[in-house]
Order: sequence, then structure tokens, then C-alpha cells
Amino acid sequence: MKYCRDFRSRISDYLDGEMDGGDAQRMGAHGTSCKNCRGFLQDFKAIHNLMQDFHKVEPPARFVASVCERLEETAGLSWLERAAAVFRRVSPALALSFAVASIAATVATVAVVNYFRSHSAPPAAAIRTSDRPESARIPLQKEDSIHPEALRQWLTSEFERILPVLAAAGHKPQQPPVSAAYVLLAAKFSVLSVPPPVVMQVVIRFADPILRQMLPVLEDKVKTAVRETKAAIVDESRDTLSQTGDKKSSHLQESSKPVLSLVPSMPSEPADQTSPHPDVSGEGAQKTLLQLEQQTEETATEAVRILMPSPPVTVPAAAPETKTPPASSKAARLDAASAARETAREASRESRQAVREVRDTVRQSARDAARAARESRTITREAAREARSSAVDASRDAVGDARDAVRDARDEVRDAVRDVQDTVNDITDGLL
Amino acid sequence: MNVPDKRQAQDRERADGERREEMILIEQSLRGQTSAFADLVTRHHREVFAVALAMMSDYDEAEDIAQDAFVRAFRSLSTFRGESKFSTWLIGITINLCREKRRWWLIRRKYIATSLDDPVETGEGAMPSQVEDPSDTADVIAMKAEDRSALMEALDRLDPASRSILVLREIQGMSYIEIAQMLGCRMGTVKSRINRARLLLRERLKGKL
Repeated sequence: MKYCRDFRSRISDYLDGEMDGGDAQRMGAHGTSCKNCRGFLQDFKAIHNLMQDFHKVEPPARFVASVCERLEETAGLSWLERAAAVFRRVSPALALSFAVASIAATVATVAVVNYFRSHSAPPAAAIRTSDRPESARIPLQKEDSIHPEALRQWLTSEFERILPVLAAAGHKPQQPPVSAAYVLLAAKFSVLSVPPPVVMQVVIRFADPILRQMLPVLEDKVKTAVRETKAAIVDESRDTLSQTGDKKSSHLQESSKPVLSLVPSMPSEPADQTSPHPDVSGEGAQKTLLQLEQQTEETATEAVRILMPSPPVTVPAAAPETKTPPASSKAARLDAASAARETAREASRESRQAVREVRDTVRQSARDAARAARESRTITREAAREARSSAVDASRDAVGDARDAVRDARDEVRDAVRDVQDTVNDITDGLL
Repeated sequence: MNVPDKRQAQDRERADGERREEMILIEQSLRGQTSAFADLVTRHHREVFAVALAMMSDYDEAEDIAQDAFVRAFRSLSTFRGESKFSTWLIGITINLCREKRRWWLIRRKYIATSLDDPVETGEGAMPSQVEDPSDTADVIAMKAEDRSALMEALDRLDPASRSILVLREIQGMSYIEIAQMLGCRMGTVKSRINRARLLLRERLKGKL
């Protein structure tokens, strides 16, 4: 019975050929003679045979080809892109949540770049938005919103553009540009739709101060949009005036001067702000938006007021081709004014919508970042738990080994005692 | 030299030849020749897949992990020093990936319930996994399928460490010393874990063996 227990504790060594000759012979003999242990032996062999079935399972027919395709795909990629590809493959769900979070990083990059541009460029009043190169515009309008390739190209060009500007403005190329660079990396991952956890950490680390700079920049964007709208109103008024007559236009141009004079009165400059970060709260942005909308409305109304009660125009008889009846001229002006007002309203509505969307995205990203952090904590906890359980297993093994060793030692002692007794018996027999 | 000795010598010679060929392929792969690495994939994909399947009990997961293992091996080929067999190194990567993936699923509470007998989705539609011996009768096939799913279930309930050791021994045929070196544990631990894992499997498969 005792040998049966020993047999069962060493049956694997015997079956796997990890036992020396004498022991193996003894085990074999016991396995044949003992009915119970023979059952053990047969079961262990059956398990071994069952496990061999795994070798019979064919891998998919395209397995080798798929691996080669993956190797070719990733052959020319940087480690970041490869990491992104691996991450995407391992977990689409997590990749998606990180992608959402990294969109915030992309937006933050836009904000940072714009922030530094606005602080190092000449006064915004002197800048006509339409004069900026097409590539310098933020590709966040509705029609091309977050198109990956466009965004990637834009981010790259913006980042390259901003460095000399920063240097020229005497900015220390340390903290903010470094964070911008990190966030740019995150944006790059968002283009690939998968940031790895390390980039996520970076986003969590740097996103907060960057996002704080975001709303003022957005307000600037809105102001620029309003300025453009006003310029459009003035341009359209001019066009209308030139269409309706020309000679008389001197009078109309005179009457449109008040409209033009409205333009510089709009609050548009960071220069008149008391701080580079005037109000980073959502309420501040909302307030500014409301003000801007109101001012836009006023501009449009003013334009209409000026254009509508235009004095009668004396049309020279010598130019019948340019002769326009006053009634139709008035109607045309009315139409133009109404169109301009509509444009202004539309622009204001779109600006508000854009700010709302960006704010929602930022909030969502913050939520996602918090969720990712929670998940990372859970993973760490699980890992710690597993490490603990491994340690417990290891100690249990050690105890088992020690117990085996004690048992072996006890057996040896007993054998030795038996040998001594045999010897004593032999001696006693000899003496007798 | 008697017949067994001669056979052993031939086997050793063949193994040495294969190892030399593998080293050449590895050097070529390190120079960026993916075709050389494709040869290595062809040589080892079955054993890597078998190990992944035994560890994960899921055909699709096993395929993903086996592919990932090769890609990771290709990326970190420069760290392979040739101290062990290439297949041993590759299986080590596979086992690590399996553990990571199981931990991942454990955290997300996914229950891996696919068995070897579930049909496999291929480009041409669902196909049965090719685990049957063509010489088996229908009764034998049904019986084997039942045994296999019971084995899968029993394996799934083993702790990860014991399962890895058992798979390395049974599927990969590694010796106790090799397993101890690969997993960085003592021989005694390997011995006791293998025996305990088998005893547990036997207990859980009681009446089905």
C-alpha cells in the first residue's frame, strides 16, 4: 500500500522516461502486479494519447501565407506603427476606445499649434484668413472632418511650421512644444486608429494643460469666422452697389462706410485680453459666442439699415445701359442685405455647433481616458493577484517537494534500521 | 556499432543538419529576407499551432496567437542567441502570448467555450477541424470527439503554470530539464506539477478514459 502511494507520486517520471534503470524496473513490476496502479498507468497513457490529438489538428490552409503577408505589411513600418498594428490586431475593442481618446489628443494638438501661432504671429487684425495658405487651415470643418490622411498631413506640416515660428518668437522649445510633440504622436496613432497604452499615458499626462488652452483658441476661431462674415457682407454690399450703378456708387460707398467701420470694433485680438488664457471654462466660451453672435446680428442689421433707406439716385440719361429703376435697385439691395444677414446667421450657427461638437469630444475623451486608467489599474491588480497565486503555488510545490524528501529520508532510515536489524539478527544467528 | 546506435547517430546527424539549415535561414531573415523566415514558418507552424490550441482551447484564438508568435519572433530574431533550439525559443514566445491572452480574457470574463470539434470558418465556408483519423469508424470518431471535448474542459480548469508545463511535455515532447530551463523553475517543481496536472486530469476525466 505504501509502495502504491510512492508509485502514484512518481508515475509521471516513469512514463516520461525520467527515471533511472533500477527504479524504472521496480515501477514497471509494480504497475503490472498491482491492479489499482495498473489502472492509473492505463489512464495516464490514455491522457497522453488524447493530448497527441492536438498534433492532428490542421492549421488553416492560408496560415503560412497570412504570416508572410503580415511580415511584408509591417516590414517598412516604424516601431510606433508596428505597435499600433499589433494593438489593433490584439484588441479591436480597446483600440477603439483608445482611438476615441486620442481624437482628443488630435484636437488638443490643433489647439496647441494654433495657440503658439496666435502668440507668435503679428496682430490678427493684420491677418486676412483668406491669405493663409490652404494647407495651414485646420481640417476640422464639417466637409472633411477628421479625415485621417488630411489630418495627418496637416498635423505634420503644422508641426514643422510652428518650430521656426516658436524659435523666432523666443519661446523656449521645452515644455509646451515637447507636449505638443507627444500629443502629435498620439494624433499619429489616432490616424492609425490605435494608440498604445504608453501614448495614452502621455495623453493623460499632457492633455489637461493643453485642453485648458483649447477653448480660448476656439473662441479665436469663432471671432475669425465672424470677421470673415463681416468682410463678406461688406464685399457683397460693394458688389451690389457696383451692379446697381457706379456713378451713384460714390453715394452708396459713402453710406457703406459705417459698415466698414464696424469691422475693427469687433473684439478679436489676444492683445486686448488681460491674460493669454482669459477664461478656459465652457461658460466663458459660451458667453463670448453669444456676444459674437449678437455682434454679428448687429452688423447685419446695421448693413441693412444703411443700405435700405438709400437716397434716390439720379441716373444719367447718357448711360441708358446702366440705367436701373430705383425700385428694382432697392429690391436688389434688400435681397443682398437679406442674403448677407442669412449668411451671418448661418456662420454664427455653425460656429456654435462646432464649439459644441468639440466640447463634447473633449468631454468624451476625458471620460475615455479615465476609463482607460481604471482599466489599467484593474490589469495591474489582476497581475498582482496572479503573481501572488504563483508565489503560493511555488511555495506549495516547495512544501510538497520537502514533504517528498522527508518521506524519502524516512524510508531510507527505515531501510537502514531494517538492514541493521537484519545484520543484528545475522550476528545473533551466528552467535547462537 | 549495433542497429539502435546507428539509428541514434543518424537521428543526431539529421538534427544537426536541420539546426545548421535553420541557423542559415535565421541569418538570412536577419538580413531582412522574409522568404527565409517563411521557410522557418513552414517548418514550425504545426507545432506552434498545436501548442497554441492546447493552451487556448479555441481554434481562432490559436490561429491568431500562432501568427502573432511568428511575427514577434521575426521582430526579435536578433535576440535569439542560438543557445537553445529555434523551436524551443519559438514555443516559449507562444506560451507567453497564450498566457497574456488568457489573462486578457480572464479580466474581461470571456468564457472560451469552443471545442476542437466545432466547425472552423474558412474562406470556403464552415469546415470541420481535421482531427479524425480516416481509418476510424463513426462510433470511434464520436467517442474520440467526446473524449476530446472532455479533455479540453479539464485542461481549461488547470492553473496556467501547470497547463503550460503539461503542454510543453505532452505536445512539444520536451524533457523535464528543458522545461525547467525554459520556464525558469526547478526540476522538482516541473516533476511535481506534471504529475499533479495528470492526476487532476485523470480525476476530471474519470469514466471517460
